[in-house]
Amino acid sequence: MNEKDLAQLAIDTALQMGASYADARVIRLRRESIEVRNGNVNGIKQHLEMGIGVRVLYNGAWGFAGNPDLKKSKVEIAVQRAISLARDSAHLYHKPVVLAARKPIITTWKSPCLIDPFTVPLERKLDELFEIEAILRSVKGVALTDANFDFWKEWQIFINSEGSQIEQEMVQSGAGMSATAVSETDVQTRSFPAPFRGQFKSAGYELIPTLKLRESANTIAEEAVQLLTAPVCPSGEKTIILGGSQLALQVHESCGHPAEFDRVLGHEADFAGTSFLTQDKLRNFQYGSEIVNLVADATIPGALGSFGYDDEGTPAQKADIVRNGKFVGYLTSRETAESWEMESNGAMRAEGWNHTPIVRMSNINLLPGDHDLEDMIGTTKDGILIKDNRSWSIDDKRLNFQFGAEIGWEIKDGKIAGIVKNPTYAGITPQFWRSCDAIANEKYYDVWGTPNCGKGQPMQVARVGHGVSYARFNNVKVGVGYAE
Amino acid sequence: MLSKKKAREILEEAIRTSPADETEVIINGGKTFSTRFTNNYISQNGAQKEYDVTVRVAFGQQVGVASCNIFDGDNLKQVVENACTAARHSKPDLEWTPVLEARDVPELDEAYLKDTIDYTPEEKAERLEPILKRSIARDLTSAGMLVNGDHMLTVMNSKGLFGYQAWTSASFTYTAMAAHQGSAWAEYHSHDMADLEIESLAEQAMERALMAQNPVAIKPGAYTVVLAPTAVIELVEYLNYLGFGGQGYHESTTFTAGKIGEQLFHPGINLIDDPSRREVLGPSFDYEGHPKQRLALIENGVVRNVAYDRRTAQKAGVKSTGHALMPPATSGPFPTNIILEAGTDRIEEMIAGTERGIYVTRFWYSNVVDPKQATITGMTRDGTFLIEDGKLSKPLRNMRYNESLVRAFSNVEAIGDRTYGFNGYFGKLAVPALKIKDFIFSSVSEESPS
Ligand SMILES: [Zn+2]
Repeated sequence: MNEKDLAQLAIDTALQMGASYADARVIRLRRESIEVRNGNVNGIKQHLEMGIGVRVLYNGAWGFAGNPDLKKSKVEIAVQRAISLARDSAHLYHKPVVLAARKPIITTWKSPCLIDPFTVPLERKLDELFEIEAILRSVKGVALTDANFDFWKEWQIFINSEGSQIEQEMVQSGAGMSATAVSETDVQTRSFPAPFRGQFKSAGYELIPTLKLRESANTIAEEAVQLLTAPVCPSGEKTIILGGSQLALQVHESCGHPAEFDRVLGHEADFAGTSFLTQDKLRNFQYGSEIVNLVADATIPGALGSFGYDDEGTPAQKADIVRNGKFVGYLTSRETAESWEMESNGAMRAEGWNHTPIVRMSNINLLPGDHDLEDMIGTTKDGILIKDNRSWSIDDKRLNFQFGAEIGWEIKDGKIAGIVKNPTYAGITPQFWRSCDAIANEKYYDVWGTPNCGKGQPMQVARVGHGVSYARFNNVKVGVGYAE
Repeated sequence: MLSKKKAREILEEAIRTSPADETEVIINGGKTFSTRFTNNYISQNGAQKEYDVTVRVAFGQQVGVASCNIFDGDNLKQVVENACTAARHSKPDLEWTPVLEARDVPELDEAYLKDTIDYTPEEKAERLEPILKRSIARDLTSAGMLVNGDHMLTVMNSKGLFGYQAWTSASFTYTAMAAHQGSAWAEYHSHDMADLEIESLAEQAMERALMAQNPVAIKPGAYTVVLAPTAVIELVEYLNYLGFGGQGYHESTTFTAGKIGEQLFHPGINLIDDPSRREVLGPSFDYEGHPKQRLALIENGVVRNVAYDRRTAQKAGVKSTGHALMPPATSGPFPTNIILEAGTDRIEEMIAGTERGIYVTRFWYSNVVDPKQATITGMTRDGTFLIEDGKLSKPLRNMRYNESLVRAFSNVEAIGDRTYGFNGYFGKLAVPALKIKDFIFSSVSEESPS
């Protein structure tokens, strides 16, 4: 039996057993990660997996079962298991689950990919990594170095009992490097293009040269060494300019997560947390200053959080979250949207075949403004330009945050005065975003991939994206954690 | 559960298939049955089954790793072939160390409990029903998860080393929420469903949630804190991560680097790794098949040992402690079954003996600020209280802490008389309550911004 027939079998079996709705996803996934560290191959791992995930509504209650075995008999067992899970607790459901309407669709979708990374010889990939890594190591004072590639290829077919049948294929690639300098009392790391394994996009191997790792290796290695003896970022209330992956993570933690409607409804109360963006605040709350515009956009070609259809078969969309500073929309699924008589905006996704879908970010983007970075620096009296995240922490309502980054540049009277180490800053989400007075233009804009967003019980990891340029914030507490 | 006999057959087959000079094969996985509840009702039921086979091969010093979640006949051959292809096309790993010689690998009896894995979704719903009804009757909102599952790890190499362990798990996490920002938390993990006293855990959390309503702000600063075991976990987790991995130790990136034998902490602090202890029960061997024994990490406040796998051990000129993680284990070895040993103090007495301080139910979203100073930051969550004159006097708004673990574990004033088991990032951990002086809070959260 092929995958489509198996998925259809799961649906038919579920309906025969009395399910009022069922969907099934059969997935085949291939993954490769390659890491070179300190002039040595540190790990090459190839991973293959396949399986089916079946979700059923029975007596108005959800049941989900995942099974790696794609034999006909095992698929039927998985369906039975999903049905019995739903049946055994249906009497403890609040009210029967109702899904917002969605027209069935039969279609296929592919992410853009010019060079399938799995066709590129391993030797070539290793040669590139060794070459990059050698440049990092050639800088005097660098103690530890690494460079890595990650590739995914995921094929899935989604079928539901309403007649939808969607086939999707996604290729995603990522690359990164870092250099670390160590002294008896200090460790300083610089990463590129972003920390935590680098930059990721929905693209093939053609992404790799565009990231310019080789061209940037010397600079970041030198910065790591300089940071060891650089002054510590000063403490106090200052202006900060955030760029690149640090601004992306700020958007992720303080906008993306609180806009997830399942958090607002309490579905994540026991784990990831709830949200300060309660329902009374929709269209009624000043999230940020008037120049702050945030959208959820799953349609950007090549971005890590893009897809054709979510894991309930809802087409990828672009939806406003914050318009001119006002909070105007959530990320929703068919179930969460129905509770507000809305339509799903297509944010329901699962990690692989073995998890039930939950509300997820796609690409949550801070739309570019009209400034040049040079002007933003030039008009800053007392500030820090902060890049490349080192640590992040935020409370369960997504209000009180503290971030640390790899590097800062002190700005005095409109000029860069020099680098500082251990920059940290802290704030309260809406106060912080309301203090945003400048956003850099399109020229600086890129969508950063975040491949490691954790949420749900049992926990699932999602790959999402964040389009950002640079943004400036005023009266921010910096130097937290290092202040006397 | 994949039986020992069946596992041995699959591993032998994989090793037979491999043309490599050295081959290691690992299978791990199991089943998880979870019942999740939100807003006082069951909201999500899941059954997941997943096993992975991981093959590491070496041709000389050329090494490759491959894994797959299906391993019948051709799929098993395919995963061995993928590892071999990766190895043949790789460059030499100059730090490759040969696979371990065959030896007896211990297996724990009674880690796999039939009653725990056979606990049905129906039984779980029955068990939760009175708690959810009580929650509704008290105008509270309950959310949480009751989970049972089984797990196995088996390892074999081309020199004939073989290890197998199966174990069960049960966990209960619970959040009770009251109006006006009141919330409280309970959590328990064990290999034995019978250990989960979910009714009493839920009852205490419900009472605390009611007490936690209308929290007030206090000035940030240094406070004496009484930390429930559910708060201590996060500190111990980071203590382990920043201090006791052999790779980081020898690369001088840990706060413990060069400090073995030094008294860094209060003399009452004893941190050990021991998978045979009931609270943190797990396989008594690592992903290389190396047996694990009790390893003292901190003894009477003195740093004693860090964890090694065979690669980091060879580099450091010591013996492996049996703490290899899943290949390729690019971050090196870490302790996986950690216990912060209990002291003699009851948590009630710690509170009673505190004139002014803060009681923390749990920390949340902690992260590293400075690895060498072992400074971390995070938030309090689900029940933070002011202690005045030996009593929990009023609920507090959540606060952010920024504190060095070296300082915090030096400033210990009392250690709880009982450890509780939890799941952690690297494995399992068990910790008691702690009372710590001069613990630094840097800010207070808003609860409802306008
Ligand atoms: Zn996230």
